[in-house]
Amino acid sequence: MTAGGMPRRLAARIAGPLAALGLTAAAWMALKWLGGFQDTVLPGPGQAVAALADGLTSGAYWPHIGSTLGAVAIGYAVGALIALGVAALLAVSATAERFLMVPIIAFQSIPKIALGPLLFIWVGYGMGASVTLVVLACFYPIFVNAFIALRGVDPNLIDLYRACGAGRLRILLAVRFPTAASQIMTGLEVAVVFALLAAVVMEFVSATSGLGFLIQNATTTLDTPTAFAAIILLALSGVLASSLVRGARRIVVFWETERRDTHMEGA
Amino acid sequence: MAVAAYEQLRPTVVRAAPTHLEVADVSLTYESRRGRVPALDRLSFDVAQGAFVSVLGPSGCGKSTLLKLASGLLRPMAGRIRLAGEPVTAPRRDVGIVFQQPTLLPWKTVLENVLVPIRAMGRDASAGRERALELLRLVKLEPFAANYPHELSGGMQQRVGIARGLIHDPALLLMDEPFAALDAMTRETMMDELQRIWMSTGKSVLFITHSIPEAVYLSDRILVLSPRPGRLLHSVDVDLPRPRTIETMADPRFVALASRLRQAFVAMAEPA
Repeated sequence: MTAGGMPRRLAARIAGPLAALGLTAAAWMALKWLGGFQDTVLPGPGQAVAALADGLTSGAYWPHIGSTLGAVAIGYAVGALIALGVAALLAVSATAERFLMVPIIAFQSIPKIALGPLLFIWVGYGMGASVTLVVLACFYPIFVNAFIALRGVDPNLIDLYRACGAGRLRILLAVRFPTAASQIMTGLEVAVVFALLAAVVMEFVSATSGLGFLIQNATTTLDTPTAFAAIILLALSGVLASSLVRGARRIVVFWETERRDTHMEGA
Repeated sequence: MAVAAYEQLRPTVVRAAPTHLEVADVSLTYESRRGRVPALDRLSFDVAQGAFVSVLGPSGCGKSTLLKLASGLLRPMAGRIRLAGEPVTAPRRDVGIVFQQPTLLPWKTVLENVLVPIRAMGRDASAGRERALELLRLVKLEPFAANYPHELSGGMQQRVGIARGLIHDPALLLMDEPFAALDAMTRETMMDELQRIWMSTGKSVLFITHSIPEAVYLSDRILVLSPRPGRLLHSVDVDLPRPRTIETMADPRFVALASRLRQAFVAMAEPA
Protein backbone atom coordinates (compact mmCIF):
# COMPACT_ATOMS: atom_id res chain seq x y z
CA MET A 1 0.00 0.00 0.00
CA THR A 2 1.25 3.52 -0.78
CA ALA A 3 2.01 6.06 1.95
CA GLY A 4 -1.02 8.18 1.12
CA GLY A 5 -3.27 5.13 0.72
CA MET A 6 -4.99 5.15 4.08
CA PRO A 7 -6.19 8.80 4.20
CA ARG A 8 -7.21 8.66 0.58
CA ARG A 9 -9.19 5.50 1.11
CA LEU A 10 -10.88 6.98 4.17
CA ALA A 11 -11.70 10.16 2.24
CA ALA A 12 -13.16 8.07 -0.56
CA ARG A 13 -15.33 6.18 1.92
CA ILE A 14 -16.66 9.37 3.49
CA ALA A 15 -17.09 11.32 0.27
CA GLY A 16 -20.00 9.20 -0.99
CA PRO A 17 -22.23 9.46 2.08
CA LEU A 18 -21.37 13.18 2.45
CA ALA A 19 -22.39 13.89 -1.13
CA ALA A 20 -25.64 11.94 -0.63
CA LEU A 21 -26.31 13.94 2.53
CA GLY A 22 -25.70 17.22 0.71
CA LEU A 23 -28.01 16.21 -2.13
CA THR A 24 -30.74 15.23 0.34
CA ALA A 25 -30.50 18.59 2.07
CA ALA A 26 -30.61 20.38 -1.29
CA ALA A 27 -33.65 18.38 -2.44
CA TRP A 28 -35.32 19.04 0.91
CA MET A 29 -34.82 22.80 0.55
CA ALA A 30 -35.95 22.76 -3.07
CA LEU A 31 -39.12 20.89 -2.10
CA LYS A 32 -39.88 23.35 0.67
CA TRP A 33 -39.28 26.33 -1.64
CA LEU A 34 -41.17 24.93 -4.64
CA GLY A 35 -44.11 23.76 -2.57
CA GLY A 36 -44.20 26.94 -0.54
CA PHE A 37 -44.56 24.91 2.66
CA GLN A 38 -44.74 26.71 5.97
CA ASP A 39 -42.25 25.88 8.70
CA THR A 40 -44.88 24.07 10.76
CA VAL A 41 -45.65 21.78 7.84
CA LEU A 42 -42.15 21.23 6.55
CA PRO A 43 -39.26 22.86 8.36
CA GLY A 44 -36.00 23.45 6.49
CA PRO A 45 -33.04 21.17 7.11
CA GLY A 46 -31.36 24.06 8.97
CA GLN A 47 -34.21 24.26 11.47
CA ALA A 48 -34.21 20.51 11.98
CA VAL A 49 -30.47 20.47 12.61
CA ALA A 50 -30.81 23.45 14.96
CA ALA A 51 -33.52 21.62 16.92
CA LEU A 52 -31.31 18.53 17.00
CA ALA A 53 -28.28 20.48 18.28
CA ASP A 54 -30.43 22.19 20.86
CA GLY A 55 -32.01 18.94 22.07
CA LEU A 56 -28.66 17.21 22.33
CA THR A 57 -26.83 20.03 24.12
CA SER A 58 -29.67 20.72 26.53
CA GLY A 59 -29.80 17.01 27.29
CA ALA A 60 -33.53 16.84 26.53
CA TYR A 61 -33.14 14.11 23.86
CA TRP A 62 -30.79 11.76 25.65
CA PRO A 63 -33.40 9.91 27.77
CA HIS A 64 -35.44 9.37 24.59
CA ILE A 65 -32.44 8.08 22.70
CA GLY A 66 -31.59 5.87 25.67
CA SER A 67 -35.00 4.29 25.97
CA THR A 68 -35.41 3.62 22.23
CA LEU A 69 -31.95 2.14 21.84
CA GLY A 70 -32.36 0.25 25.10
CA ALA A 71 -35.61 -1.35 23.95
CA VAL A 72 -34.05 -2.13 20.58
CA ALA A 73 -30.92 -3.68 22.10
CA ILE A 74 -32.75 -5.84 24.65
CA GLY A 75 -35.53 -6.89 22.29
CA TYR A 76 -33.06 -7.62 19.51
CA ALA A 77 -30.83 -9.74 21.73
CA VAL A 78 -33.75 -11.72 23.18
CA GLY A 79 -35.39 -12.10 19.76
CA ALA A 80 -32.14 -13.30 18.21
CA LEU A 81 -31.56 -15.87 20.94
CA ILE A 82 -35.08 -17.27 20.62
CA ALA A 83 -34.90 -17.29 16.82
CA LEU A 84 -31.52 -19.06 16.76
CA GLY A 85 -32.68 -21.58 19.35
CA VAL A 86 -35.86 -22.43 17.44
CA ALA A 87 -33.96 -22.58 14.14
CA ALA A 88 -31.43 -24.99 15.65
CA LEU A 89 -34.20 -27.19 17.07
CA LEU A 90 -36.04 -27.34 13.75
CA ALA A 91 -32.84 -27.91 11.79
CA VAL A 92 -31.91 -31.06 13.71
CA SER A 93 -35.35 -32.47 14.46
CA ALA A 94 -37.80 -33.40 11.74
CA THR A 95 -40.47 -33.89 14.41
CA ALA A 96 -40.02 -30.35 15.71
CA GLU A 97 -40.21 -29.08 12.15
CA ARG A 98 -43.48 -30.93 11.53
CA PHE A 99 -45.08 -29.40 14.60
CA LEU A 100 -43.68 -25.89 14.56
CA MET A 101 -43.19 -24.86 10.95
CA VAL A 102 -46.87 -24.13 10.19
CA PRO A 103 -47.46 -22.08 13.38
CA ILE A 104 -44.29 -20.11 12.67
CA ILE A 105 -45.34 -19.30 9.13
CA ALA A 106 -48.84 -18.39 10.33
CA PHE A 107 -47.29 -16.10 12.91
CA GLN A 108 -45.08 -14.53 10.26
CA SER A 109 -48.19 -13.71 8.19
CA ILE A 110 -49.42 -11.36 10.91
CA PRO A 111 -48.05 -7.84 10.54
CA LYS A 112 -46.34 -7.59 13.93
CA ILE A 113 -47.11 -3.89 14.14
CA ALA A 114 -50.82 -4.74 14.25
CA LEU A 115 -50.15 -6.30 17.64
CA GLY A 116 -49.02 -2.93 19.07
CA PRO A 117 -52.38 -1.81 20.52
CA LEU A 118 -52.93 -5.28 22.02
CA LEU A 119 -49.51 -5.23 23.61
CA PHE A 120 -50.46 -1.90 25.14
CA ILE A 121 -53.42 -3.62 26.78
CA TRP A 122 -51.36 -6.58 27.92
CA VAL A 123 -48.08 -4.97 28.92
CA GLY A 124 -49.13 -1.34 29.47
CA TYR A 125 -47.06 1.80 29.34
CA GLY A 126 -43.30 1.74 29.22
CA MET A 127 -40.40 -0.11 27.78
CA GLY A 128 -41.75 -3.63 28.33
CA ALA A 129 -44.21 -3.30 25.46
CA SER A 130 -41.54 -1.92 23.13
CA VAL A 131 -39.16 -4.72 23.99
CA THR A 132 -41.89 -7.30 23.37
CA LEU A 133 -42.76 -5.92 19.95
CA VAL A 134 -39.07 -5.74 19.02
CA VAL A 135 -38.67 -9.41 19.98
CA LEU A 136 -41.64 -10.36 17.79
CA ALA A 137 -40.45 -8.24 14.87
CA CYS A 138 -36.87 -9.59 14.97
CA PHE A 139 -37.81 -13.23 15.24
CA TYR A 140 -38.70 -14.20 11.70
CA PRO A 141 -35.87 -12.70 9.62
CA ILE A 142 -33.30 -14.17 11.99
CA PHE A 143 -35.12 -17.49 12.27
CA VAL A 144 -35.68 -18.08 8.59
CA ASN A 145 -32.12 -17.26 7.54
CA ALA A 146 -30.67 -19.37 10.33
CA PHE A 147 -32.99 -22.31 9.63
CA ILE A 148 -32.27 -22.43 5.91
CA ALA A 149 -28.52 -22.13 6.47
CA LEU A 150 -28.42 -24.70 9.29
CA ARG A 151 -30.30 -27.12 7.05
CA GLY A 152 -28.25 -26.37 3.95
CA VAL A 153 -24.95 -27.69 5.26
CA ASP A 154 -22.99 -29.91 2.85
CA PRO A 155 -24.28 -33.45 3.55
CA ASN A 156 -20.78 -34.85 3.02
CA LEU A 157 -19.53 -32.79 5.93
CA ILE A 158 -22.32 -34.16 8.09
CA ASP A 159 -21.46 -37.68 6.91
CA LEU A 160 -17.82 -37.15 7.79
CA TYR A 161 -18.79 -36.26 11.36
CA ARG A 162 -21.36 -39.05 11.58
CA ALA A 163 -18.81 -41.57 10.33
CA CYS A 164 -16.64 -40.54 13.27
CA GLY A 165 -19.51 -41.19 15.66
CA ALA A 166 -20.44 -37.53 16.27
CA GLY A 167 -23.99 -36.93 17.51
CA ARG A 168 -26.50 -34.28 16.46
CA LEU A 169 -25.46 -31.76 19.09
CA ARG A 170 -21.78 -31.94 18.22
CA ILE A 171 -22.61 -31.63 14.52
CA LEU A 172 -24.88 -28.68 15.28
CA LEU A 173 -22.20 -26.81 17.19
CA ALA A 174 -19.11 -27.85 15.26
CA VAL A 175 -20.45 -27.84 11.71
CA ARG A 176 -23.92 -26.39 11.26
CA PHE A 177 -23.58 -23.14 13.19
CA PRO A 178 -20.16 -22.12 11.82
CA THR A 179 -21.21 -23.02 8.28
CA ALA A 180 -24.43 -21.07 8.69
CA ALA A 181 -22.72 -18.07 10.29
CA SER A 182 -22.67 -15.99 7.15
CA GLN A 183 -26.36 -16.30 6.44
CA ILE A 184 -27.20 -15.91 10.12
CA MET A 185 -25.38 -12.59 9.99
CA THR A 186 -27.54 -11.61 7.01
CA GLY A 187 -30.67 -12.31 9.06
CA LEU A 188 -29.27 -10.31 11.96
CA GLU A 189 -28.57 -7.40 9.62
CA VAL A 190 -32.10 -7.40 8.22
CA ALA A 191 -33.58 -7.65 11.71
CA VAL A 192 -31.88 -4.44 12.87
CA VAL A 193 -34.23 -2.38 10.72
CA PHE A 194 -37.28 -4.33 11.90
CA ALA A 195 -36.20 -3.80 15.49
CA LEU A 196 -36.01 -0.01 15.15
CA LEU A 197 -39.32 0.08 13.33
CA ALA A 198 -41.05 -1.97 16.01
CA ALA A 199 -39.63 0.12 18.82
CA VAL A 200 -40.80 3.39 17.28
CA VAL A 201 -44.27 2.07 16.47
CA MET A 202 -44.73 0.79 20.01
CA GLU A 203 -43.60 4.16 21.33
CA PHE A 204 -46.29 5.84 19.25
CA VAL A 205 -48.84 3.67 21.00
CA SER A 206 -47.80 3.29 24.56
CA ALA A 207 -44.55 4.91 25.56
CA THR A 208 -43.78 7.78 27.85
CA SER A 209 -40.33 8.26 26.39
CA GLY A 210 -38.33 7.27 23.33
CA LEU A 211 -37.80 8.76 19.90
CA GLY A 212 -41.20 7.53 18.70
CA PHE A 213 -42.81 9.21 21.68
CA LEU A 214 -40.81 12.37 20.90
CA ILE A 215 -42.14 12.43 17.32
CA GLN A 216 -45.70 11.78 18.49
CA ASN A 217 -45.47 14.47 21.13
CA ALA A 218 -43.83 17.07 18.89
CA THR A 219 -46.33 16.69 16.07
CA THR A 220 -49.32 17.20 18.39
CA THR A 221 -47.87 20.61 19.22
CA LEU A 222 -46.87 21.27 15.58
CA ASP A 223 -43.23 21.30 16.66
CA THR A 224 -42.14 19.74 13.39
CA PRO A 225 -38.43 20.66 13.68
CA THR A 226 -38.25 18.43 16.78
CA ALA A 227 -40.05 15.62 14.93
CA PHE A 228 -37.50 15.90 12.14
CA ALA A 229 -34.66 15.96 14.64
CA ALA A 230 -35.97 12.69 16.08
CA ILE A 231 -36.26 11.21 12.60
CA ILE A 232 -32.64 12.18 11.89
CA LEU A 233 -31.63 10.48 15.14
CA LEU A 234 -33.52 7.33 14.09
CA ALA A 235 -31.80 7.31 10.72
CA LEU A 236 -28.42 7.71 12.43
CA SER A 237 -29.25 4.87 14.85
CA GLY A 238 -30.17 2.64 11.93
CA VAL A 239 -26.90 3.37 10.15
CA LEU A 240 -24.90 2.88 13.33
CA ALA A 241 -26.62 -0.40 14.30
CA SER A 242 -26.31 -1.81 10.79
CA SER A 243 -22.62 -0.99 10.59
CA LEU A 244 -22.11 -2.60 14.00
CA VAL A 245 -23.63 -5.83 12.68
CA ARG A 246 -21.63 -5.57 9.47
CA GLY A 247 -18.49 -5.05 11.50
CA ALA A 248 -19.33 -8.10 13.57
CA ARG A 249 -19.79 -10.03 10.34
CA ARG A 250 -16.26 -9.21 9.17
CA ILE A 251 -14.94 -10.67 12.41
CA VAL A 252 -17.25 -13.66 12.71
CA VAL A 253 -17.09 -14.79 9.08
CA PHE A 254 -13.50 -13.66 8.58
CA TRP A 255 -12.76 -16.29 5.94
CA GLU A 256 -15.42 -14.89 3.62
CA THR A 257 -14.17 -11.34 3.69
CA GLU A 258 -10.62 -12.53 3.18
CA ARG A 259 -11.62 -14.77 0.32
CA ARG A 260 -13.32 -11.85 -1.40
CA ASP A 261 -10.24 -9.69 -0.88
CA THR A 262 -7.95 -12.37 -2.27
CA HIS A 263 -10.13 -12.67 -5.33
CA MET A 264 -10.19 -8.94 -5.87
CA GLU A 265 -6.41 -8.77 -5.67
CA GLY A 266 -6.17 -11.69 -8.06
CA ALA A 267 -8.46 -10.03 -10.59
CA MET B 1 -28.84 -61.47 -18.52
CA ALA B 2 -26.18 -58.86 -19.22
CA VAL B 3 -24.19 -60.21 -16.29
CA ALA B 4 -24.00 -63.62 -17.88
CA ALA B 5 -22.87 -62.13 -21.16
CA TYR B 6 -19.77 -60.59 -19.63
CA GLU B 7 -17.29 -63.02 -18.26
CA GLN B 8 -14.31 -61.65 -16.42
CA LEU B 9 -11.82 -59.96 -18.70
CA ARG B 10 -8.94 -61.51 -16.80
CA PRO B 11 -8.78 -64.37 -14.35
CA THR B 12 -8.53 -63.13 -10.78
CA VAL B 13 -5.09 -63.61 -9.29
CA VAL B 14 -5.23 -65.55 -6.05
CA ARG B 15 -3.98 -63.29 -3.31
CA ALA B 16 -2.21 -64.21 -0.12
CA ALA B 17 -3.49 -61.17 1.77
CA PRO B 18 -6.61 -61.72 3.90
CA THR B 19 -9.91 -60.11 3.00
CA HIS B 20 -10.35 -56.67 4.52
CA LEU B 21 -13.68 -55.54 3.17
CA GLU B 22 -16.22 -58.10 2.12
CA VAL B 23 -19.33 -57.05 0.22
CA ALA B 24 -21.65 -60.01 -0.32
CA ASP B 25 -24.91 -59.94 -2.27
CA VAL B 26 -25.62 -56.37 -1.28
CA SER B 27 -28.77 -54.70 -2.61
CA LEU B 28 -30.14 -51.30 -1.74
CA THR B 29 -33.21 -49.47 -3.01
CA TYR B 30 -33.98 -45.86 -2.20
CA GLU B 31 -37.58 -45.10 -1.33
CA SER B 32 -38.58 -41.70 -2.58
CA ARG B 33 -41.82 -39.87 -3.20
CA ARG B 34 -41.56 -40.68 -6.88
CA GLY B 35 -41.17 -44.36 -6.21
CA ARG B 36 -38.45 -46.89 -5.58
CA VAL B 37 -35.04 -46.26 -7.05
CA PRO B 38 -32.83 -49.34 -6.98
CA ALA B 39 -29.22 -48.26 -6.41
CA LEU B 40 -27.31 -51.52 -6.01
CA ASP B 41 -28.31 -55.01 -7.10
CA ARG B 42 -26.74 -58.11 -5.53
CA LEU B 43 -23.25 -56.66 -5.53
CA SER B 44 -20.42 -58.86 -4.32
CA PHE B 45 -16.68 -58.23 -4.13
CA ASP B 46 -13.76 -58.31 -1.73
CA VAL B 47 -10.99 -55.89 -0.99
CA ALA B 48 -7.83 -57.64 0.20
CA GLN B 49 -5.77 -56.22 3.03
CA GLY B 50 -3.62 -53.38 1.69
CA ALA B 51 -5.09 -53.59 -1.82
CA PHE B 52 -6.04 -50.69 -4.01
CA VAL B 53 -9.42 -51.43 -5.56
CA SER B 54 -11.22 -49.07 -7.91
CA VAL B 55 -14.91 -49.01 -8.66
CA LEU B 56 -15.49 -47.83 -12.18
CA GLY B 57 -18.92 -47.06 -13.47
CA PRO B 58 -21.15 -44.58 -15.26
CA SER B 59 -22.83 -41.78 -13.32
CA GLY B 60 -25.63 -42.99 -11.14
CA CYS B 61 -24.45 -46.57 -10.78
CA GLY B 62 -24.66 -46.33 -7.00
CA LYS B 63 -20.95 -45.73 -6.44
CA SER B 64 -21.48 -43.20 -3.68
CA THR B 65 -24.08 -45.47 -2.09
CA LEU B 66 -21.42 -48.13 -1.96
CA LEU B 67 -19.13 -45.84 0.04
CA LYS B 68 -21.87 -45.04 2.51
CA LEU B 69 -22.52 -48.73 2.95
CA ALA B 70 -18.85 -49.53 3.46
CA SER B 71 -18.49 -46.80 6.08
CA GLY B 72 -21.64 -47.89 7.91
CA LEU B 73 -23.56 -44.66 7.20
CA LEU B 74 -26.18 -46.73 5.38
CA ARG B 75 -27.38 -50.29 5.99
CA PRO B 76 -27.97 -52.61 3.04
CA MET B 77 -31.50 -53.93 2.51
CA ALA B 78 -30.12 -57.32 1.59
CA GLY B 79 -26.74 -58.95 1.74
CA ARG B 80 -23.93 -58.28 4.18
CA ILE B 81 -20.86 -56.16 4.58
CA ARG B 82 -17.94 -57.18 6.74
CA LEU B 83 -14.95 -55.11 7.63
CA ALA B 84 -11.95 -56.92 9.09
CA GLY B 85 -14.25 -59.88 9.69
CA GLU B 86 -16.88 -57.92 11.64
CA PRO B 87 -20.29 -57.03 10.23
CA VAL B 88 -20.71 -53.30 9.57
CA THR B 89 -23.84 -52.20 11.43
CA ALA B 90 -23.01 -48.63 12.47
CA PRO B 91 -20.56 -45.89 11.41
CA ARG B 92 -17.06 -47.33 11.63
CA ARG B 93 -14.13 -45.37 12.97
CA ASP B 94 -11.53 -47.56 11.28
CA VAL B 95 -12.59 -46.08 7.95
CA GLY B 96 -11.35 -42.82 6.44
CA ILE B 97 -13.38 -40.92 3.86
CA VAL B 98 -12.21 -38.56 1.10
CA PHE B 99 -14.88 -36.78 -0.94
CA GLN B 100 -15.04 -35.40 -4.45
CA GLN B 101 -14.96 -31.89 -3.05
CA PRO B 102 -12.36 -31.14 -0.37
CA THR B 103 -15.24 -30.24 2.06
CA LEU B 104 -12.89 -28.43 4.40
CA LEU B 105 -14.06 -26.12 7.15
CA PRO B 106 -13.21 -22.58 5.98
CA TRP B 107 -12.86 -21.23 9.53
CA LYS B 108 -10.21 -23.76 10.51
CA THR B 109 -6.55 -23.79 9.57
CA VAL B 110 -5.14 -26.60 7.44
CA LEU B 111 -3.78 -28.31 10.56
CA GLU B 112 -7.10 -27.99 12.38
CA ASN B 113 -8.93 -29.36 9.34
CA VAL B 114 -6.75 -32.45 9.36
CA LEU B 115 -7.68 -32.91 13.03
CA VAL B 116 -11.45 -32.72 12.38
CA PRO B 117 -12.11 -36.51 12.62
CA ILE B 118 -10.29 -36.62 15.98
CA ARG B 119 -12.49 -33.83 17.32
CA ALA B 120 -15.60 -35.36 15.80
CA MET B 121 -14.82 -38.49 17.80
CA GLY B 122 -14.72 -36.35 20.90
CA ARG B 123 -11.06 -37.11 21.47
CA ASP B 124 -8.35 -34.72 22.56
CA ALA B 125 -6.98 -33.15 19.39
CA SER B 126 -3.70 -32.00 20.93
CA ALA B 127 -2.52 -35.61 21.00
CA GLY B 128 -3.05 -35.82 17.24
CA ARG B 129 -1.07 -32.71 16.32
CA GLU B 130 2.20 -34.56 15.78
CA ARG B 131 0.52 -37.07 13.54
CA ALA B 132 -1.33 -34.31 11.68
CA LEU B 133 1.95 -32.56 10.94
CA GLU B 134 3.45 -35.86 9.84
CA LEU B 135 0.54 -36.40 7.44
CA LEU B 136 0.87 -32.85 6.13
CA ARG B 137 4.50 -33.68 5.45
CA LEU B 138 3.31 -36.80 3.62
CA VAL B 139 1.00 -34.77 1.38
CA LYS B 140 3.71 -32.09 1.07
CA LEU B 141 1.73 -29.37 2.77
CA GLU B 142 3.63 -28.96 6.02
CA PRO B 143 4.54 -25.30 5.31
CA PHE B 144 0.82 -24.53 4.98
CA ALA B 145 -0.27 -25.95 8.33
CA ALA B 146 -1.24 -22.52 9.65
CA ASN B 147 -2.95 -21.34 6.45
CA TYR B 148 -6.67 -21.31 5.80
CA PRO B 149 -8.24 -23.45 3.06
CA HIS B 150 -9.16 -20.45 0.89
CA GLU B 151 -5.46 -19.63 0.61
CA LEU B 152 -4.80 -23.01 -1.05
CA SER B 153 -5.32 -24.23 -4.61
CA GLY B 154 -7.89 -26.93 -5.38
CA GLY B 155 -5.26 -29.66 -5.58
CA MET B 156 -3.75 -28.59 -2.28
CA GLN B 157 -7.16 -28.54 -0.62
CA GLN B 158 -7.81 -32.06 -1.87
CA ARG B 159 -4.49 -33.17 -0.37
CA VAL B 160 -5.61 -31.72 2.96
CA GLY B 161 -8.73 -33.86 2.54
CA ILE B 162 -6.56 -36.95 2.06
CA ALA B 163 -4.48 -36.14 5.15
CA ARG B 164 -7.74 -35.68 7.08
CA GLY B 165 -8.95 -39.07 5.86
CA LEU B 166 -5.83 -40.68 7.29
CA ILE B 167 -5.58 -38.82 10.63
CA HIS B 168 -7.26 -41.46 12.80
CA ASP B 169 -5.14 -44.16 11.18
CA PRO B 170 -8.03 -46.00 9.50
CA ALA B 171 -7.23 -49.36 7.98
CA LEU B 172 -9.47 -48.65 5.01
CA LEU B 173 -9.61 -45.45 3.00
CA LEU B 174 -12.78 -44.77 1.01
CA MET B 175 -12.34 -42.25 -1.79
CA ASP B 176 -15.29 -40.86 -3.75
CA GLU B 177 -13.95 -39.49 -7.05
CA PRO B 178 -11.42 -37.41 -5.15
CA PHE B 179 -9.82 -35.91 -8.26
CA ALA B 180 -12.93 -35.37 -10.37
CA ALA B 181 -13.12 -31.67 -9.55
CA LEU B 182 -9.48 -30.98 -10.42
CA ASP B 183 -7.99 -29.84 -13.71
CA ALA B 184 -6.21 -32.41 -15.90
CA MET B 185 -2.66 -31.41 -14.94
CA THR B 186 -3.37 -31.42 -11.21
CA ARG B 187 -5.14 -34.75 -11.60
CA GLU B 188 -2.05 -36.46 -12.97
CA THR B 189 0.11 -35.11 -10.19
CA MET B 190 -2.47 -36.20 -7.64
CA MET B 191 -2.60 -39.73 -9.08
CA ASP B 192 1.12 -39.93 -8.56
CA GLU B 193 0.85 -38.49 -5.06
CA LEU B 194 -1.89 -40.90 -4.08
CA GLN B 195 0.11 -43.89 -5.31
CA ARG B 196 3.10 -42.72 -3.25
CA ILE B 197 0.92 -42.13 -0.15
CA TRP B 198 -0.79 -45.49 -0.54
CA MET B 199 2.51 -47.32 -1.01
CA SER B 200 3.99 -45.67 2.06
CA THR B 201 0.99 -46.25 4.36
CA GLY B 202 -0.14 -49.72 3.30
CA LYS B 203 -3.84 -48.89 3.69
CA SER B 204 -6.56 -50.71 1.82
CA VAL B 205 -8.24 -48.29 -0.56
CA LEU B 206 -11.67 -48.40 -2.17
CA PHE B 207 -11.43 -45.78 -4.88
CA ILE B 208 -14.47 -44.60 -6.80
CA THR B 209 -13.89 -43.02 -10.16
CA HIS B 210 -15.27 -42.69 -13.64
CA SER B 211 -11.86 -42.14 -15.20
CA ILE B 212 -10.47 -45.24 -16.88
CA PRO B 213 -6.80 -44.12 -16.96
CA GLU B 214 -7.03 -43.12 -13.31
CA ALA B 215 -8.38 -46.53 -12.37
CA VAL B 216 -5.75 -48.43 -14.37
CA TYR B 217 -2.92 -46.27 -13.11
CA LEU B 218 -3.77 -46.67 -9.43
CA SER B 219 -5.47 -50.02 -8.96
CA ASP B 220 -4.61 -53.59 -8.13
CA ARG B 221 -8.09 -54.45 -9.21
CA ILE B 222 -10.86 -52.65 -11.06
CA LEU B 223 -14.53 -53.41 -10.54
CA VAL B 224 -16.79 -52.30 -13.37
CA LEU B 225 -20.39 -51.57 -12.38
CA SER B 226 -23.42 -51.37 -14.62
CA PRO B 227 -25.68 -48.31 -14.80
CA ARG B 228 -28.27 -48.04 -12.04
CA PRO B 229 -28.96 -50.34 -10.36
CA GLY B 230 -25.26 -51.04 -9.95
CA ARG B 231 -24.29 -54.65 -10.62
CA LEU B 232 -20.81 -56.06 -10.96
CA LEU B 233 -20.04 -56.49 -14.66
CA HIS B 234 -16.30 -57.13 -14.59
CA SER B 235 -13.55 -57.60 -12.10
CA VAL B 236 -10.19 -56.85 -13.68
CA ASP B 237 -6.79 -57.35 -12.07
CA VAL B 238 -4.07 -54.90 -12.96
CA ASP B 239 -0.63 -56.42 -12.50
CA LEU B 240 1.48 -53.62 -13.93
CA PRO B 241 4.64 -53.13 -11.85
CA ARG B 242 4.82 -50.44 -9.17
CA PRO B 243 5.54 -47.67 -8.78
CA ARG B 244 3.71 -46.74 -11.93
CA THR B 245 4.85 -43.61 -13.70
CA ILE B 246 3.97 -41.45 -16.68
CA GLU B 247 5.86 -44.02 -18.79
CA THR B 248 3.55 -46.75 -17.53
CA MET B 249 0.70 -44.98 -19.27
CA ALA B 250 2.47 -45.60 -22.58
CA ASP B 251 3.07 -49.28 -21.72
CA PRO B 252 1.24 -51.50 -24.26
CA ARG B 253 -0.35 -53.47 -21.42
CA PHE B 254 -1.68 -50.25 -19.90
CA VAL B 255 -3.03 -49.10 -23.24
CA ALA B 256 -4.60 -52.49 -24.00
CA LEU B 257 -6.30 -52.67 -20.61
CA ALA B 258 -7.61 -49.12 -20.83
CA SER B 259 -8.97 -49.78 -24.28
CA ARG B 260 -10.67 -53.02 -23.18
CA LEU B 261 -12.32 -51.19 -20.32
CA ARG B 262 -13.43 -48.48 -22.68
CA GLN B 263 -15.00 -51.09 -24.94
CA ALA B 264 -16.83 -52.53 -21.97
CA PHE B 265 -18.20 -49.04 -21.31
CA VAL B 266 -19.29 -48.62 -24.90
CA ALA B 267 -21.03 -52.00 -24.85
CA MET B 268 -22.80 -50.94 -21.65
CA ALA B 269 -24.02 -47.71 -23.24
CA GLU B 270 -25.58 -49.56 -26.19
CA PRO B 271 -29.26 -50.29 -25.79
CA ALA B 272 -29.93 -53.96 -25.05
